[in-house]
Amino acid sequence: MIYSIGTQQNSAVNEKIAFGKRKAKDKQASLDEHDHLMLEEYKKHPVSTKFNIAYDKLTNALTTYPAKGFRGSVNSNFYEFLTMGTIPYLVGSGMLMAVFGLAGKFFDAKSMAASAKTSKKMALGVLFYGIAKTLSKKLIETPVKLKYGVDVNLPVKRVINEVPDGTNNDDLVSYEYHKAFESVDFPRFDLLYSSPESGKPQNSYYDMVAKKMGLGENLKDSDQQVKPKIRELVTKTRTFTTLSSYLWAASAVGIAMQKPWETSAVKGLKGFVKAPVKAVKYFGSQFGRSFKEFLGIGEKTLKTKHIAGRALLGLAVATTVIGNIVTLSDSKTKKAKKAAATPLINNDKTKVVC
Amino acid sequence: MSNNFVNNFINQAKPIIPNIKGNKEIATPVPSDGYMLPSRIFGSPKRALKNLKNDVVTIKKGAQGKANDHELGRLNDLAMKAGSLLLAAYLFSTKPFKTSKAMEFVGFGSFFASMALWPKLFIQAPIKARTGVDIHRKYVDSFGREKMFFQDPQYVPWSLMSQAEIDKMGDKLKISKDTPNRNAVIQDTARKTAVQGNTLWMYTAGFATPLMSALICNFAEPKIDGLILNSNLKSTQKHLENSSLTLLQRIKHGFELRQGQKFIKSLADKPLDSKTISEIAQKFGNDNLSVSQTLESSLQRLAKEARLNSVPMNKNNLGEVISKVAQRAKLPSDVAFELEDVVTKLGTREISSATLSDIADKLAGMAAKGNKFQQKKLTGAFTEALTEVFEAQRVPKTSAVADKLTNLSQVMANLKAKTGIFDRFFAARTKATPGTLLGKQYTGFSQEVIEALGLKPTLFGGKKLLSDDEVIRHIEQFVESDKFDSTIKSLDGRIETFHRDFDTTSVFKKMKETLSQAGEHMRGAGFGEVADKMTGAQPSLTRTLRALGFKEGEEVSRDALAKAFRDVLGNDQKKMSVSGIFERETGIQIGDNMDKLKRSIEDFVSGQPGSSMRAMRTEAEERILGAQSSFYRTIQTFDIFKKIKNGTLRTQLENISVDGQAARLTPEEVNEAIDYAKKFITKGTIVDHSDKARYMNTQSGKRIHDAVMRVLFDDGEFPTEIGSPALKSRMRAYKSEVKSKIVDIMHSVEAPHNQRWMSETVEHMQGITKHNLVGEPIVDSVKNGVQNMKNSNKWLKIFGTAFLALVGITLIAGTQFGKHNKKAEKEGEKTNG
Repeated sequence: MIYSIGTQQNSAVNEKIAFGKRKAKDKQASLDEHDHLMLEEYKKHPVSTKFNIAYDKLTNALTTYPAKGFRGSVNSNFYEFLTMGTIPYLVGSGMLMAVFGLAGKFFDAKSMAASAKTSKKMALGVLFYGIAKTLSKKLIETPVKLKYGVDVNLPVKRVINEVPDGTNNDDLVSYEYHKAFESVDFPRFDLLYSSPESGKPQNSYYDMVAKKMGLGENLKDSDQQVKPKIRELVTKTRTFTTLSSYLWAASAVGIAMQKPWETSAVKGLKGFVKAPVKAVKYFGSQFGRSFKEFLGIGEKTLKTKHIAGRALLGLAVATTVIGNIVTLSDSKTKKAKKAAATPLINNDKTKVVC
Repeated sequence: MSNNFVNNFINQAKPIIPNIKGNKEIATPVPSDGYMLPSRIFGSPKRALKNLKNDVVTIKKGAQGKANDHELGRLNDLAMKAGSLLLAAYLFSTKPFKTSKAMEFVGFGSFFASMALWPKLFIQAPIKARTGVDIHRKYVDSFGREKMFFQDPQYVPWSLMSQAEIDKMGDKLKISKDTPNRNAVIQDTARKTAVQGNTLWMYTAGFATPLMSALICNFAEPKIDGLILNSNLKSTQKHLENSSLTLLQRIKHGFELRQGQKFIKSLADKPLDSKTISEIAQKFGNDNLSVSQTLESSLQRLAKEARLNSVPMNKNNLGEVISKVAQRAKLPSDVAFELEDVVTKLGTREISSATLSDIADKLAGMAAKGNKFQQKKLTGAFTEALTEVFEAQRVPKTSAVADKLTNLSQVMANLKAKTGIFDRFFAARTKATPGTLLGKQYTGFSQEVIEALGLKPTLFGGKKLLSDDEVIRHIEQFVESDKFDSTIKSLDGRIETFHRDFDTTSVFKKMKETLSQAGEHMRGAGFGEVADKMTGAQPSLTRTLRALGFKEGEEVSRDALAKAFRDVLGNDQKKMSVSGIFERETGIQIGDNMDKLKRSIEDFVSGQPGSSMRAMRTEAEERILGAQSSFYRTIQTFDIFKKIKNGTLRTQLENISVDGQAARLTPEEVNEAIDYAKKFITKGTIVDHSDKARYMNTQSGKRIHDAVMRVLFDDGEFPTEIGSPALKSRMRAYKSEVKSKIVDIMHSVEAPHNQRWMSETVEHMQGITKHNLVGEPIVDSVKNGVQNMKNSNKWLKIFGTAFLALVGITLIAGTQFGKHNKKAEKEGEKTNG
């Protein structure tokens, strides 16, 4: 699917109202003044784009946003509050490991060895939790993207023109990274139209999606027909990714709590640097054994914990599968589909406007 | 024409009257359906339940694609809680003990409670108290959705808050009443305070939540432990008295009964040969090797008894016979073929041992076709073949003993269930697992001793472990102190409680009754030997032991037995005779399975003849003995130190007669004896090789050793001086047990290298270890106890301090919020008018 960069269609912004000083990196100055869909960079370099966005958010959450927040700045908004939400997640993860592992030098060797095992499992649990939560969402979002061309993670760079708040009166432009479909009530449909400069028809994106959704080709108002469907699709996708991600995360933490993790092939970072391949291979084998222990594969008699593990993982898989079924199928009946496809106004007949 | 149409329409159209309330000339907006919720730290549970219900409905709406942003946001919180709860449930299933199981849910609850309580208690409440601004105030919007008032600082629905409330906030914020645009100033200050508070929340939550959660769990665990223990004690007592099962056990029991039935049915048509017998013995042996072995023998006996007396002579049987003969006697194939034909015409008859030779003759005659010589030869072959087939066919089908097996399976399943009652009874009281009554009482005793000795850890830092000499010094100080008498009294009380709680007479009686009942049922079902095995009616093995070379009445140790076996195994004739005797005596088939023989005899020697109840009883007895011996040993230690303190021991040692009444100890020897007594009673070991050499091999050393053993363990001559009369009599019993079972033997046995004196191998003590009889030395119990207390104390100090520091920082930071810029207000007066 090829569609051009969408730009904000709000004409008022086109008049370039400048607040305060403008930054020197003005190559994209005209673009930077408007919200824009980061489509090109996301398509070409998806990983580095995501990384840059995450890096920007994290550094701001550690510097600018708390500075504004503690001052009670008028520019401190909900986005900044949400972005700062990554801080307790990171700090909390570290603390979970610390309450078991830290202060080691105050305890005797035997006690430390015992608590180090738990500390290691906590660390793995945190790591697996994060990975499972992120990757499990892909299991639902990717099929949706492939089938309907709707990528729920499309990044949008928003330009925020701040007001002077007494402390900072100069650099009043801040950037926020949102997703085009992060809100189901107010998705950024405006950014999905193609601009005249691109040479594509204005509705090219919506035409593409309409075709993939089976609504037909060469529709007169594909955007009007497709928008409610996209909303519905994004809602369903969000529902199931939310539900399934926590179940996968719980399963991943369960795997991290198994016995095979209590040993390690290398000691600490130094050991890893000396023999990285060995460490990675051993890690892989530990994961395999833990996975088997979690599910009780190869056990003669299944214990309660094996059944519980299977139930948990089964629930996660079932939610993902149901999510895929619900998002990828059209739930309306044939009659409803036909009625929905039929426009209310017959465009072929002559209309008289009184 | 169209114009007319339009004009008509316009004329006929009714005017739209807006919904104006109050003054008809002034149009005011329709009031909102939203409202503020009362400013409370803790919300209402009713509302929480309603929200939960709505969240669950959101799942359905979301799946239909009809949910909105607010609902999807709430769904995230619900999914997080549900995922965590499922994780807690999984981890619950992995933990072996009830307390650690329960703690998984406590962890889950405390984590979410901490996440909610931290901002409420340490940010929201202090800020509200100081500034009047409730930064987490809630409201309900026109669509009935509950939201936080200050969640988005750039959109705060001030229209919902009453003027009175705003004014009250302004008063608390110390914004003077004559400030121009007071409302705007109040709202701005409140917004600012909320932003600051929320930022503080984000920066402290990461530290606070795990800390708070860990601290809550740390405090909750001992309480949960106590609750679970009490509940266990009550329920296991109830089940014991009523001989009843828990619900889970009943389900398991029913399941096992059905499984047993199914199993027997599946074997119905199989022959009751050694393979099947082995299978059955494994299945119904209750995982007890000894019982399975005995069961196998019983089943073999039953199979023998149930053997068929006659077998049909059908086509299959005869075909087998003919092919065997054809192979061995080299019958030409056409003869074999003809024979088959003829035999079919013979029809079905019964072969029994009586008719076997007749049938063999007949068949041989037919095959030989008149050749007498051939006939003679073939008769032998036919007899052999027929016998083989006959014997094989005589093996009864399992269905022949199905009734007996059904009875057996029921009895064994019932016994397993009943064993479970006792198992759980002891699990709550004496098993070597955490959270038992014995553990609790032992720890309580140990901790009281540690506190009395002044060893309770009060300081931070260092991995320095307590030294033995330090402990001894503390004991010496303790016996001189004022609290000595009260401590002894208290410990005495603990010992009395212990004896009361661990009076196992009635339990063991019940175990015996249960076993006897099961034994009776089993005898009734025809499995007498198994009954004997389980109830512990030991077969007489004296003849077997004699055959192995032991003398009548001689005590047999495992090592001696092993050696005897090695000798016997090397000698084939002897091997056969020993196993033969054993089989005759016990009825257990050994054959040439010497391992089986050895195991069976070892069972007998070790006193655990395969009854799981016996093993359970022994374990319980040992644990109780071990604990009470440790108590007595502690009392004995204090008694000796007291005697050292007040000179009694010295006097006793000076007056004790040694070398068979001939002499007394020299003054130097007396001094050495006192030190030796101290070392011995607190540690129970000879410290190094030179000590061993001194006290075992030198004349003087032996004298000292004898004298010390007498003052320590001869209660008749040297009675305990501390404690109540009841305690003194218990001490007497304890000392005499140790003296007779260990001390007296030690004279005749050389101290082996690197072994503790008090735990030398005393060969004839079957099933009871020396250590449990003597008890743990005070140095060991104190050091372990102190180390445990130290660790938990330290952890609490470190992380409790960290938490308090965080609270301090948060509260101090909170005091900086809610300040408004008075200068700016005045300026605002100029610009905004």
